[in-house]
Amino acid sequence: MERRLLLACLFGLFFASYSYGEDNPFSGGIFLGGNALNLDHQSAKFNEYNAIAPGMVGGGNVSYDTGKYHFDADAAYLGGDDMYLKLKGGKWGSFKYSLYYTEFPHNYSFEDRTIYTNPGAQNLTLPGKASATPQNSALWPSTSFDYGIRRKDIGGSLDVTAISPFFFNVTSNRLQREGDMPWSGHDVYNFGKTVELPLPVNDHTTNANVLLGWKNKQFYTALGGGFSEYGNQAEFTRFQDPFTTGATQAYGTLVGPPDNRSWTLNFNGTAKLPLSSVFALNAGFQNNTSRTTLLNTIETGTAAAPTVTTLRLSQPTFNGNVDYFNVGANLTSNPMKDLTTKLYFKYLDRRDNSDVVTFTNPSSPASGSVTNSLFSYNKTSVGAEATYRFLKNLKGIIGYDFTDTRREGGEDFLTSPAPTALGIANVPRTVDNTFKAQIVYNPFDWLGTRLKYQKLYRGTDTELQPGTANVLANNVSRFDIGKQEQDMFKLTADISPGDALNVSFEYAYKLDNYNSTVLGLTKAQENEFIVDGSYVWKGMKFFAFFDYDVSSTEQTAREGGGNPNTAPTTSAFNWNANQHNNNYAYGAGTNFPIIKNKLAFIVQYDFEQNNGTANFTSQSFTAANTNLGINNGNINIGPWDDYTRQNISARLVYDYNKDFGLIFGFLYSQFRLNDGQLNGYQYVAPGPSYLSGAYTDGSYKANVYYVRAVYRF
Amino acid sequence: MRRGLSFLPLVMFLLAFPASSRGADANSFAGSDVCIGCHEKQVRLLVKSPHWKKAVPGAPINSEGCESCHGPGAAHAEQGGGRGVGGLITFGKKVTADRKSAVCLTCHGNSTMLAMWDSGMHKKMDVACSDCHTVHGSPKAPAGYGTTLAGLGYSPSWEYQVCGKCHLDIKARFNRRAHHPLVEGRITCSNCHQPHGSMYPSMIKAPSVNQLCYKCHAEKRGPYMFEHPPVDENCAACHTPHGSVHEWLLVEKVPNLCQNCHDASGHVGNRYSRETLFTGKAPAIQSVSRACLNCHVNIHGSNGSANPANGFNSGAYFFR
Repeated sequence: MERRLLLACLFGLFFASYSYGEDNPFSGGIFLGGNALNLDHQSAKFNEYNAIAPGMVGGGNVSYDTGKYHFDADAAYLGGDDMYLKLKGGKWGSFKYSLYYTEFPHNYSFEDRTIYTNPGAQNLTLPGKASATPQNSALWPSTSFDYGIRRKDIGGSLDVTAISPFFFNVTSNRLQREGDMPWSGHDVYNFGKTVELPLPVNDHTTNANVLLGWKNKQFYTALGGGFSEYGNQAEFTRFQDPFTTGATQAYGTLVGPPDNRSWTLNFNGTAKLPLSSVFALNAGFQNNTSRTTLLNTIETGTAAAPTVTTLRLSQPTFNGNVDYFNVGANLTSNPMKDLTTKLYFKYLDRRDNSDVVTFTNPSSPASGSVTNSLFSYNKTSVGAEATYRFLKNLKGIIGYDFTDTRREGGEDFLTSPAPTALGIANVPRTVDNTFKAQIVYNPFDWLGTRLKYQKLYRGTDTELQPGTANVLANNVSRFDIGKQEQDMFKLTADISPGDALNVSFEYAYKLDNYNSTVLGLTKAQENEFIVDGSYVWKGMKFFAFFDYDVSSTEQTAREGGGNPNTAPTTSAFNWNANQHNNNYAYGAGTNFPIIKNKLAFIVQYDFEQNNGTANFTSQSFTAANTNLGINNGNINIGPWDDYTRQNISARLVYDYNKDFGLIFGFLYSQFRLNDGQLNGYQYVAPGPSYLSGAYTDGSYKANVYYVRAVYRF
Repeated sequence: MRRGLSFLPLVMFLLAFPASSRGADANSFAGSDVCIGCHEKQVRLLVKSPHWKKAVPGAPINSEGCESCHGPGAAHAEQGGGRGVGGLITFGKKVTADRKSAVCLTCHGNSTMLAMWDSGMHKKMDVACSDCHTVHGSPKAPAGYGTTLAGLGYSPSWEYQVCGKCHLDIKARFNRRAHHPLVEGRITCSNCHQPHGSMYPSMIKAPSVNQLCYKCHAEKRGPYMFEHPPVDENCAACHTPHGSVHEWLLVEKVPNLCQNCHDASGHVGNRYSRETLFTGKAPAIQSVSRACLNCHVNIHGSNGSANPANGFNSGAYFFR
């Protein structure tokens, strides 16, 4: 009896003490481990955004929370190419801050080759004369190099709420990028010859944003400002021209992104009004500027006798200046029970106030001049939506949007004396009418459904260009601003009969018809079906995912110019291309405890396959085609971005106790690419052109074995 | 002595459970200490969140504790607990989104993060606060499709799991051959989108798609002397930001993508079919490898000079 009384006392004491006690304020963990990697060959795709490599790895985190102040630090892979260090903390209810430093790569392609001796330099040189460039890539400089960019980002933020009803937030970061990316230099003297070369990348972006606002239960206002500066330490890259044939060497210059700056000012505000209404207003202004000292010399002459010509420029520098202005307003209301309405207005204006620069060639005055064309546009949208709750579990939404986009300029660059025949039909204005309808219906507690339909009608004001020389251009429609009808349909069902089982189904259909298009994209279509589910049973978790996506595009174009509505000849004819992609993906996995709270096994498998084709039909064939036996029976392309991707991941997690644990893991990863544009790759390509192997290393097979020891405190 | 001791458990019990919890009606509060007696796991997780920090003004711990959100719990406790007992406020499937969110908005309605909640899509689609946020504990590390690198430490943020519950097509796209590095944990959904509501299209964090993209891709911001107007108007004309089966996040392969807009005599309108590939009978540089971009490389805009007498190295044609 006394023992039972004592236990009851202790029971009560336990609850009494627990009601007011707190956990240890200091917690965290560290991990140390290693990776072993078996990779069939170096592939940038395997490590596109990571730096998985054999060797030791480590990291840790620590948290400290006194109930008044808190601090968290998290770091891993220090010293590696994808390291990170993150700190955050603050005073509860008063302010919070964060600081971070992260690095990660974006790798494009490994073990590439080039005719140049010094990939990565801003002055690319050949080992000898251009005319001596080997036509056999095996004789090129032996140094292989990688295309990729390393990103280093440092930044932080401060958020102050202690000054309520005012609030203040400031963020800032600096991103540094270094590396190389695939670029090209076209032959000056002959059409259709180019050299693929490594463009050095060395730039930084510094951003700073501040937000100051005031709020109470009825009103919210915030004024924000931002500044961004981009600096390019490798704006100009010089390369020795590999296409000269004589003794004189020539050099070309690639012009990269200019240094630029951006200032932003924006205002946001809301006000609560009667009838449960909320009026929201925003307005913003952004000014983007750039400055480039223009090159006033340019390669000319012939391949046998290259020269350098001094151009005449209307001004030596180009000052870019683009303003964005936006304003928007919403009014949402609840005018009667179960009815919610929304009216909105949006306006966006992009105004190009940059310099207009004219180039002339004093050595060839008859060639006229080239002047850049400035492009501006504004977009006005008005719309309305109404939502009505028919029943507790049935809701309908209808909406209408009218968007008017007006463009100025945007013609091809202007040439004098004769306008270029490449001119694209000017489309100054498009008008979009969009109708939307949705139903949200949850017939049962365990079943939720959503049905959405959207119809877009796009009309255009096309300005036809006079003259028979422009008959082709007058029949070309640019798909992004062409006359269009779009139908979008989506049905989603979420089933969750209990807490343990969740399954979601989704079917989406999209059809874009460009019925008035003669030349260009005429149709685009997509069907997608997805299933995603998870199940928990006796502590075991299972998941499965399936996605099937079929998409296609149809286009018509004309080879040889002229009127597409005339009969074909062997030199001028129309052709069609139908591209299809069948993509399916699935994944399954489980997390199950072998010994509860002691030993768990996690395994999962992801798979994806894409099969693409490009099927062509041609009205006619050139004499050269016919001589080679090319006809409609042998022009289709089979592997067109075909790939398979699969990952198998398995790990055993052993917790010796609450402080110590071990993880033994394995990852099998495979990617196989089969694409007609890369199959049979030739470094000395048609032209001849010199390529560098960019993106040819995509396929890989990798096995990663890893172990981690974890200590928690 | 023994008789005195026999009252001791009752005394200890009464100390643990304040008087307000005894003999209460349906509208009276039991006190958080009563809740802890049965819901220890939920409380252990709750104490780590800002909701249980006394330093936070208005935090539930400073008012009615658990009952700040779940309503008066005396009746629930007196009747022995259990699902649906005592009229507590719960956040399960049977409760409407508006009702669930109303609880959170009682305190957070004035939050700066929710200023545009009424303008956004999630409110209209009956997404409740509890559909994305968990008060009782920290978000779990994502699991499922797309997380096979998690064991090596490359895991998407919890947003991938939460947003991916409804946005299944987006979840599929982030695992395609070309994708922004979300599944590797380098970016997250909220880097581009404002889930709590925005007046901008698709709830992005900028007035236009281009202005959003320029935040990370400042090298594309220009302004450039020779512009490519569809590029300046909408990056999404050529790119699909979440993921694509085509390299560089393109909506279609080049040269066909370019030929959707460009058609002219000369190579621009030529048919680049099978015979023009490396393995074909008439390979063409405009068809293989990077196709149009083998030559027209500065496709996002160029500050290269222009020679009216020779376009082959002209910035106007995006060669330089």
